[in-house]
Amino acid sequence: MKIIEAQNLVYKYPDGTKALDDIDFSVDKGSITAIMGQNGAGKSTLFLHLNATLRPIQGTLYLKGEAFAYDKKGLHNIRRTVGMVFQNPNDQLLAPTVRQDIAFGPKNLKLPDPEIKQRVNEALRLVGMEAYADKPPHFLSGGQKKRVAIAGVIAMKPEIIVLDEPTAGLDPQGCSEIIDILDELNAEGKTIIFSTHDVDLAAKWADSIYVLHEGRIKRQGVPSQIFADHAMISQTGLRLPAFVQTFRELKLRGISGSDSPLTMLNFVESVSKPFDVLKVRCAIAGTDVHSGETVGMVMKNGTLYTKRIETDMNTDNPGTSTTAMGKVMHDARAGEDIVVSEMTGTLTSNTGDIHIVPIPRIIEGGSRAVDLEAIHAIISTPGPKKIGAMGTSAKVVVRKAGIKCDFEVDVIQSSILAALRGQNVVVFATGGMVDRVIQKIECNNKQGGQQIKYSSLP
Amino acid sequence: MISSTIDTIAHTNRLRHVDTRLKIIFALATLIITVASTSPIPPFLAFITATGLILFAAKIPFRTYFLLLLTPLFFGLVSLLLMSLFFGYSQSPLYSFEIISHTFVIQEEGANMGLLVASRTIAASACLFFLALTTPMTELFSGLKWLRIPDVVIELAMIIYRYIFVFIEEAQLMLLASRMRGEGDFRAKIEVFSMLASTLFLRSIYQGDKLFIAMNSRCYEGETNSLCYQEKSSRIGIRPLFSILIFEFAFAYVTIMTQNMTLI
Repeated sequence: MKIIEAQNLVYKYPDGTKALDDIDFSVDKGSITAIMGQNGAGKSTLFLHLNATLRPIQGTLYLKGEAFAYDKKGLHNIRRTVGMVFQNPNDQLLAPTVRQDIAFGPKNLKLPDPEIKQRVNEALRLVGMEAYADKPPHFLSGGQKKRVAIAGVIAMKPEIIVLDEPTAGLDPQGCSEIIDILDELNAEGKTIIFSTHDVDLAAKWADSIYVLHEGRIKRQGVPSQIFADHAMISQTGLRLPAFVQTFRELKLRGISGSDSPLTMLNFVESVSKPFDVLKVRCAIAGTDVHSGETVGMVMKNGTLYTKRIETDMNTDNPGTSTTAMGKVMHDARAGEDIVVSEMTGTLTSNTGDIHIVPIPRIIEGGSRAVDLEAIHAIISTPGPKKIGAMGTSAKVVVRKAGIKCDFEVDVIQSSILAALRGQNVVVFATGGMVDRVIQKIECNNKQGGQQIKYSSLP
Repeated sequence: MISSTIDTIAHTNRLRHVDTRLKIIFALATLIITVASTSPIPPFLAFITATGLILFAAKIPFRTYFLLLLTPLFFGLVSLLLMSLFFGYSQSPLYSFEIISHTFVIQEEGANMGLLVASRTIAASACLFFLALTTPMTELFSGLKWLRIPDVVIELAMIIYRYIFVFIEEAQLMLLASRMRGEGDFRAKIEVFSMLASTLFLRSIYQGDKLFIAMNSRCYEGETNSLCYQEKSSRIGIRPLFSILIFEFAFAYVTIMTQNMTLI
């Protein structure tokens, strides 16, 4: 279902220059849409149309199939359905305290006080800013201000959230945190529309991408289509994601899979088969090794280690290791990365299992509804394992239980990669994110590579 | 920046979590009695009390408080000097001196009046500094609402408060940028200052536009009261309220008793 749509949109600035020219734009309910394009391509202008701040000169916008109405009632309806997060939080945060700022929207919706209180607290918890509720915005860092700006919009419970460059100017960690929050909102069914210059983010996160160029839509499609069109990418001043560039180089050398990879996972899949027949492998030195030395190799917990040839490898680690030998190409100390050539023998690695633990969402009681002892019981089962947490309440639970988390960002992808290497993974997933993990694992299994087993608690 | 220092202190001092309403009652009542007094003794007592609370109860650094106090101190001393020279009758000179064949006479009435004005100025400032240094603006806004100040006034104050810091930051950046490109002579500095001021003014207009768009985006429809959200406030503590009232009554009594007293 199309939740928001624009047809033949034309907009001119008061001085007569065309900012938008014949824009056709539509977004599916529950999807993530990225708008890309150079500075001045019209991204922000388009966004200001989506919540009826600007009125098009020609063309029509539709919200859930109904044309935008620009009277008082219509505007109210549009703006409570389409929440807008501006690029600069200083343009948006106007109240003296974080709490009052988040309450601004709900107050305007004329909600009763208990409802406002509940929504404000929910939004604060979702963005992890409870500790700063009574601080003024100028005491916060850029990333924190951004989170408050998002909370201010969330508290209005919009169905669509529009974000103008949500990650601009943030440090990598802050950036991942914002994306994580938005991911959780999306898992709850919110539609997300965002503009960005970050091609890697758009490639791995968006369901659909629009490329704007000089006020027109240059191309629309799923990320793999967009980033396969190299001519268009260079013409519109964009850049290929790092994975796609690396993949192209490999492809030109005859090492290739079929599709252009957009994430680490795709990339590993696309090159792992050709590498199986290679005589050269990378490994981690198990002991100090010297150039030219012949070493044995074992797979341990999904990582390839070298071993001294004198040791009997089969009795040393029955079941988890396989026999292979090769020649070390350079000196290295134990624990360093090395390259082994002239490999003989076979290496097979078992895949690990992914164990998914659902954690209730904040509205459903959050971390308070979780039995911490049960969590500890899951974690303390024997054998090494990686631990991931996705979504706010899952992270709170993990922190409360005093568990060290291996994956907090990009959890699904990191878990699948670890499982493919043979490691067992426990993922704590909040609410609707459980389905998303299962969906991604099944998607991986369907592609016919190594199969990953998963289990999920009720 | 002294303004951001005050703001930080207000958020971190020892009296931060004392009920704002109590602090407002204390500061305002003491201020009113001080200003109404006719003898310099009550202002002196008020000054001692406020300063004691600021330095020892709230643990505010002496340096910060002293720097703030310099302004009222300067005005107080200047008015003391001028009033003692130019007020009163010539029958009761305290002291006279000559500068370039002109005789200056310090009169008793003038000296008393100057002393009263100076002490009131300094003590009243100390009362307000007590409020400013111990109470964050954010709390003060809820205090103002409790005092039934109209919402429009409070909301304007809130937005002004919020954007003071945005513009301080911008002004600092612009100043830094201009300094990096070389420090000129006095004339050049004045030109730079005028440029900064006008740019800042223009920016504040743009900022207003943007703010209005952002407010509309969150369903703002021109109604006030949207910013004044606060969770239900607790009831005012009876015992501290009582002790403050007792102090104020005692203070008022002292003021009445000393109304005809002068120091000289």
